[in-house]
Amino acid sequence: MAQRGFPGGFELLVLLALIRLGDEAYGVPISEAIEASSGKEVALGSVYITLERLERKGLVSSRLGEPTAERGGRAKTYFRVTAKGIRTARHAQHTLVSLWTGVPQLERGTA
Amino acid sequence: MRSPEPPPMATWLMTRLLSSPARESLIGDLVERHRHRRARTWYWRQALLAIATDVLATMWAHRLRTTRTLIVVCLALYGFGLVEPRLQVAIDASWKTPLDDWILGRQMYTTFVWTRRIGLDALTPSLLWCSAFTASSALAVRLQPRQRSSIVLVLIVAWVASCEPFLVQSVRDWMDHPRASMWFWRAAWFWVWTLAAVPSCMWIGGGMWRVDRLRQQH
Repeated sequence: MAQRGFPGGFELLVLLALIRLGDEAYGVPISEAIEASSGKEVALGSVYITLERLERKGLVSSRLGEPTAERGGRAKTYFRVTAKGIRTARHAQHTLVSLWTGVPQLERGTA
Repeated sequence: MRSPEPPPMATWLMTRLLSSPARESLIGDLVERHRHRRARTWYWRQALLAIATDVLATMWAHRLRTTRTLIVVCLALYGFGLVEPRLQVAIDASWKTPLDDWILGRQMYTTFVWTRRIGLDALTPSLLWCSAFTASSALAVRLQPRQRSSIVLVLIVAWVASCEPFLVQSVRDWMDHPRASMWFWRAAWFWVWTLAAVPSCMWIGGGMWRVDRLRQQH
């Protein structure tokens, strides 16, 4: 069972992509950042569902931009990580790194 | 195949079926990515995945209400199934029996065969069941107004999935009797009924044309 407040795998990917991108992050660059790091195609629908969930948890905030012709007159929704989101990402990093270190199977060049 | 414009049908489906508050932004992002060297198949795949993800997330977020709604709809349809044969007999007595008598009384046997081929004998139960599906969809949406698109889509998928064995059988019957046109008409009617008439009734009953009202709710 997942620990309460600990982000899930895809949630963590989205959160880290948001931290990397800064204030001008919206669906397209977020999905491109995840695709670039994972090497797999990402469903934009999944990114938005995850962003909504993170927003409900208070880890992310959003604001609506201006509509543009390139997007068929549709506005962008910009996302940014909140202070709570940063704390959560840092906590996840500490947890994962402490579990990662000292495991021979995960050392570089093995398996 | 590449085109500067994304497939309008996929965009239309997302406009109708996505219940996410960020629906317009999501569609805008897909349009933007499509314009930057993406294929139509990519757009379609993303659109269908977005709809499926949205429906599943919405259903999961309201799983108790969704379960209750589906149970009520199933019970309502089951109850209708109990009274439908009596209704059918009463309605058929008012138009079908006199029409058959009139056609056969004038020895118009070819016309009689064609009334069977075009499914005129099944008109009463078809209309009765279409009304029942429209009403059940309206009932489901009344029980769960904020998840309208999700619940209507689930009802349509459940209906088509439940008919899948009969759809396959209708094609087999038709292929086993390629020279008998009756099998073709039977298969054609069954496909039109399953994939067009009932889903359309559910769509209409669920008020899916009222997209602007749905936007205001969010």
